[in-house]
Amino acid sequence: MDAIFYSPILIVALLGLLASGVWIAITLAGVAMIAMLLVEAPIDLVMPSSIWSAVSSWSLTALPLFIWMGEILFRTRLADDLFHGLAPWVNRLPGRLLHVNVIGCGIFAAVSGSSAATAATVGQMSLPELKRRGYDEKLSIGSLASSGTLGLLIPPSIILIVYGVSANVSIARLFLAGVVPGLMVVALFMAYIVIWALLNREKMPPAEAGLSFWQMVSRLRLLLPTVLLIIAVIGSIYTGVATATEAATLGVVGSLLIALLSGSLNWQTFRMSLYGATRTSCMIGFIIATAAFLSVAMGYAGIPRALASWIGTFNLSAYQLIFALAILYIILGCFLDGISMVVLTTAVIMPMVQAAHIDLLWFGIFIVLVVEIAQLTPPVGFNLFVVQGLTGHDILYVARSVLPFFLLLCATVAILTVFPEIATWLPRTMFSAR
Amino acid sequence: MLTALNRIYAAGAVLAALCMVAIALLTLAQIMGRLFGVLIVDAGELAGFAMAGSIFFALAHTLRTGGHIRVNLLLARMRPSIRRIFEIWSLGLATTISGMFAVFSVRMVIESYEFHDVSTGMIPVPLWIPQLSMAAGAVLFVVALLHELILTIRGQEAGYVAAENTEPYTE
Repeated sequence: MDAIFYSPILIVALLGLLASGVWIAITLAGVAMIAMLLVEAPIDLVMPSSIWSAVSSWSLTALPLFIWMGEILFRTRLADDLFHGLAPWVNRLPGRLLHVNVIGCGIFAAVSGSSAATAATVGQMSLPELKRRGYDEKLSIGSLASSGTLGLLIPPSIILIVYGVSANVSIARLFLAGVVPGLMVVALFMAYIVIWALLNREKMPPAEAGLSFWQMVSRLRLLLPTVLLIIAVIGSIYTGVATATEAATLGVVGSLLIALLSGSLNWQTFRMSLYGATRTSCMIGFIIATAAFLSVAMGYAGIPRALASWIGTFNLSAYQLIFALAILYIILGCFLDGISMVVLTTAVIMPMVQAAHIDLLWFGIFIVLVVEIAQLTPPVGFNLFVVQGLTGHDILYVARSVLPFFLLLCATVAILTVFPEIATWLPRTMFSAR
Repeated sequence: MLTALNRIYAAGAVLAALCMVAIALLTLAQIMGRLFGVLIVDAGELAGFAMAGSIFFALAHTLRTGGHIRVNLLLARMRPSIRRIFEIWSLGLATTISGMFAVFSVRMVIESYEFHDVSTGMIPVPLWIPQLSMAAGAVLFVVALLHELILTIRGQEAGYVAAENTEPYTE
C-alpha cells in the first residue's frame, strides 16, 4: 500500500470532519492520527513531541505579541483619529472620503495583523460617516471589506507569521516582502475609486467646503502617534535592529503608551485586550500545533513526496503550477479560513513548491494574496461576515459590492507572478541581508 | 461543581495571560540588556516555554468561550434536533482525540522527568517543568470538552454554542 492509496482516504476524512463541524485543530490532529495508523507509526511518541516543539518556539512568540498590540489599539480612539486626520486630505481626490476606507485600512493594517479587525475598526467609524454624507453605499461597503484584507499583507501580519513558522522562512523578511505589494494594492484600489467617481459623477454627493492648508496640517497631528509607531516597528525590522518578536514587543509598549496618552487605557481595557489576545493566539497556536503534527504524519505516510513526484509527471511550468494552485486556493477559500489554508499548504504541498524551484519568500506573499481573495468569497469569507455585521446587509449584497476589488486582487496576483521582484526586492535591501 | 470547574478554566486563562505578559517582559529584558551590554541568558528559550504555556493553559477557556474556529456552514442550517447529533459527534471525537493527546503528554512529561532531559540553553532547565504546561493544559481541555459533551447530551446549551451565537464572526 502506498501514498496514492492513502491520499483519497485522508482527503475524504479531512473534508468530512470539517463539514460536520469538528473544530479545525481537532480535525487536523484526527487526520494526522488516521495517517499514522495507516502506516503503523508511533502516534504516542510523535504526537506530543511534534506538538511541543511546534509551540515552544522563540520565533512563534511574535504571534501573541502582535495580536495583543492590535487588541490594545482596537480599544483606543484610533479609528476616530484616522477618519478625521485623513478626511481633509483625500477630499481633493475624485472619490473623496471613500479613500478613507482604503488608506485608513492600510494604516491600521500596519499596526494590526488581522484583516477582520482592520475592517471592523475602520468600518465602525467610516461607514456611518460615509452613509450620512450620501456616498454610494455599494462602493463604501466594497472598498471597506476589500481594504480590510490589507491587514494580512501589510506587516505585521498574523498569517505571515503562521506561514513563516510553519514553512521555516524568516518572519522579518516575509514582513518586508509584504510592504510593496501592500502599497500596490492600496494604489490599485484608490485608482479604481478615482475612475469610478469620474465616471459616475451623478452618484457622488456634493463636495464639502475644504479646510485651509494649516488646518489640514494640524489635523495630521491625529495620525502622528500611529505613524511613529509604524515607523518604529517596521523600521526596526528593516534596519536589523530588532527581530520580529522584539519589534512586536516595541509595538505592545508603544500601543500601551498611545492608549495611555489618549486616555483610553485603564485596568478594564488592559485586561480585555490581554484576554482577547490570549484567546486568539490560543486558537491560532492550537491550529499551528496540530498542523505540525499533521505535517510530520504526512511525512511518515510519504504523501508530500508522492504528490510532488505525481505533479512532476505533468511537466508543468512554474507558471502553470502557480495558476493551478491559485485556482485550488480560491476554491478552498470558499470553505476554509486563511490560517487553515496556510497550515495545510505547508503540511502537504511545500515539497512540491520547492521541487518547482519557487522562492519560498515569494510564495508566502502569493499565498497571503490568495487568502485575501478567499476572505472575500462567499459562503465563508470573514471580511464579508464582518461587514455584514456592521451594515446589516446580507452577505450576497456585500459579496457583489466587493466584486470589482476582488478582480483587482486577482490582477495583483497575476502582476506579482510576472514581476516577483515586487515582493523580493525590499527584503534584499534590508540591513541584515548585506 | 460546575462553578468550580468554570473557575478552574478561568484560572487557566489567567495563567495563559501571565505567560503572554512574560513573553513581552523577557523580550523587553533582552532588548534592554543589549542596549546596556548585559547578557540576558536564555531569554529566547524561556519566552518559547512561556509561548507554549500561553497556548495550552488557555485551551479550555477558549473552547468554552467559542474561540476555537470551525466550519459551521452546515451546522447553522440544521434543525436543532439534527444539529444536536452533530454537536455530540464533534464533542465526542474531540474528547477522544484530546484524551489521547492528554495521556501521551502526561507520559512524555514523566519520561522527561525520569530521563532527566534538559533544555539546550546556557542554563539547563529540566524539560519536564515547562512541558507540564502541555500536560496540564491538555487534561484541562479534556475536562472542558467532557463538560460540554455532558451539557449537550442533557439537552442544555454548551458554552461555545452560546458564545458563537452572540459573536457571529471570529478570526
